[in-house]
Amino acid sequence: MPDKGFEKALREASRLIPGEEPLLVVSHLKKYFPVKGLLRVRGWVRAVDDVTFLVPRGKTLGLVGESGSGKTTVGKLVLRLLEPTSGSVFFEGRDVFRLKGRELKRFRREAQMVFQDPYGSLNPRMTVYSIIHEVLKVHGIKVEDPEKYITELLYEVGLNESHLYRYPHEFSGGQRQRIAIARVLALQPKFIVLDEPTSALDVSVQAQILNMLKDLQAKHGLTYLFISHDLGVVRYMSDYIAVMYVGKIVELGPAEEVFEKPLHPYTRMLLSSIPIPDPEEARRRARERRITGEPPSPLNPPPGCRFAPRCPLARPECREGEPRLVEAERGHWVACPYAW
Amino acid sequence: MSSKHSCRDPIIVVEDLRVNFYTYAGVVKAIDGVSFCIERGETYCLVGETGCGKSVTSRALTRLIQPPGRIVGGRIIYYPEPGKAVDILSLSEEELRRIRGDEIAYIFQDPGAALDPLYTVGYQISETMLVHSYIKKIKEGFSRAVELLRATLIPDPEERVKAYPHEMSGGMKQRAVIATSLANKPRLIIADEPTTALDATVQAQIMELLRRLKRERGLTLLLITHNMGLVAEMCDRVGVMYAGQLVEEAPVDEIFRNPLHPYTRALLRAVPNPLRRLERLDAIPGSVPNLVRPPPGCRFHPRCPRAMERCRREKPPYFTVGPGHRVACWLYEGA
Repeated sequence: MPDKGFEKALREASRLIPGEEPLLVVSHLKKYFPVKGLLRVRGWVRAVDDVTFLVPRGKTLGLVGESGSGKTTVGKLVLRLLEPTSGSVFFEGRDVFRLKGRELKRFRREAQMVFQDPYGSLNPRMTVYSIIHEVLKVHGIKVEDPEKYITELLYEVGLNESHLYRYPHEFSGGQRQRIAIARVLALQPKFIVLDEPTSALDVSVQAQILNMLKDLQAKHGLTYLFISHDLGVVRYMSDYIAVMYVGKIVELGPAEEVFEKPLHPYTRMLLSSIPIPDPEEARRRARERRITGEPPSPLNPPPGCRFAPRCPLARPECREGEPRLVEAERGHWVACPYAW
Repeated sequence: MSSKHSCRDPIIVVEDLRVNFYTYAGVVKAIDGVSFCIERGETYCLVGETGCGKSVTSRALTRLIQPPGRIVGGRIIYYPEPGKAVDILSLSEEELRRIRGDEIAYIFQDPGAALDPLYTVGYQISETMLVHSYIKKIKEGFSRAVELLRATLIPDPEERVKAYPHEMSGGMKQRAVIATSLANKPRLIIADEPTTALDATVQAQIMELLRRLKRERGLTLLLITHNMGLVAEMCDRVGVMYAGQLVEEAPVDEIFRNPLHPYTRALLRAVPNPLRRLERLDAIPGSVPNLVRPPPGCRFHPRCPRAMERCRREKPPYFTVGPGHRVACWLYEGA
């Protein structure tokens, strides 16, 4: 039985990403952080401000944006690592923020996260074996032969039994990220939030990890929410893309659509700012590029469209109402009425 | 002073540079015989991954190597003007300080760490000028600081000169750092991953600023980066580094059109390009070697798809394969 509000949330989100079976549905999600003054709250950082989308089962939704766009906060909210100000998240039809007891425990096992920093997320005093064995204990998962089970996991991520009893400091950054991924796989999750999983790694190692994540997804039918500021990486990994700017989704659609035909002026500016590994094209793009202003503080976002102060298409009306997502082309949504 | 470099009018020539770090784990041969020259007025890029030695090389240019690191061999010749050679490694500390920060200025990755949180931006710019005796009192520096902030396109420079670093965004801080580095009219700017900590749109703005300053002031730029996109966009010539060695050098168009070293080729194929649809990235197997006991012969051979018996034994010399294009790989012997 799906939870209350699910049908309506699903209807709305399915309009944005049609024809897919959702694993996760996010509906009007908001997260405001209080800014505390001496005695009272001075204001609110609107980190995530009314965000709706869904993540189809077995696919990858890429969430892109610059620092302060709210993408990491979205990642934490959908895993219930943060409580929202309002809005809801449904995982297989169940309202994540109302889960209790055994159901909550199951959600905690089925929905996992891989963090950016493979140096900070592994306990330096534990061996690889105990790092992975611990999560099995925490979740009360009984395996007959833990050593065999963990060895098999290590093989899945390109390591082997010789690594079982070593400590994190003995591994390179890429290998540590493999261990972090093995730990997540130990729980046989359905859904993984990957928050900049390769940003701390070198490109040669990044390619290894990205390829591995794709293989694991195909093999286990995993669903990914892939958070990154690197557009090249996001394009490579994602089926769908949501572009965030200061707490809001400004463009949403199939990855190929969004990259081949970016519509929102912010998406265009962001794409044009990426240096391309092709000298002639890179120099031409650098000459033609026009980048104005800097992202505003989410503490005092500008009124109306938050991108208006930097936007080449801005009109006086843009400073009034906040633009809604509109379907520009089938399945391709843009929060700008002047974008096409 | 005779050298065997290939630059017509070099601003700096590095020959067979060697830097070791003396650690508990052993001697790390961080830079192992690196040679290159930078042409006056060009943008030269050193590109490579973590630990390849690109930053250490750039710091060695003004002997900014801290213990346990030490320059153990090679020559670094600086030419403030054509034909006027200054041997960096034999200068006194005092003579060197006059050059460092004055004629050769640095911009580092983290603008937050380069600025002192307790002083205003204007004070810090003035201090740089005071240290190099361009002004006698801090106060004199403020009007010049305003001009420098304006030159780096900081809005409202008259107000911003009085701002503390925490009052500025990351991009604005990096502009202030660039303003500081320009304070003493340098000839060579060494920018070490200047935008790695910044967002994409801000990075594009900082790169535009560097191009413009270089054009207007006739600067020479040494850009240290791991980002192949920035190399393509910014550079005239490129040196690719791997495990403490320069493995390939070529003009920028040539290195992208005709990469020859197996590492350069692999590196270029591992970068996901947001403008292209990709089915599969080509990863480089393995990881960067430990430089306490680097692999014998060519340091890339354990990861190289085309390694031969000889690569395991003998370090490859440079083979010149075209105008300005040299590569340290046995595949090109006699090419």
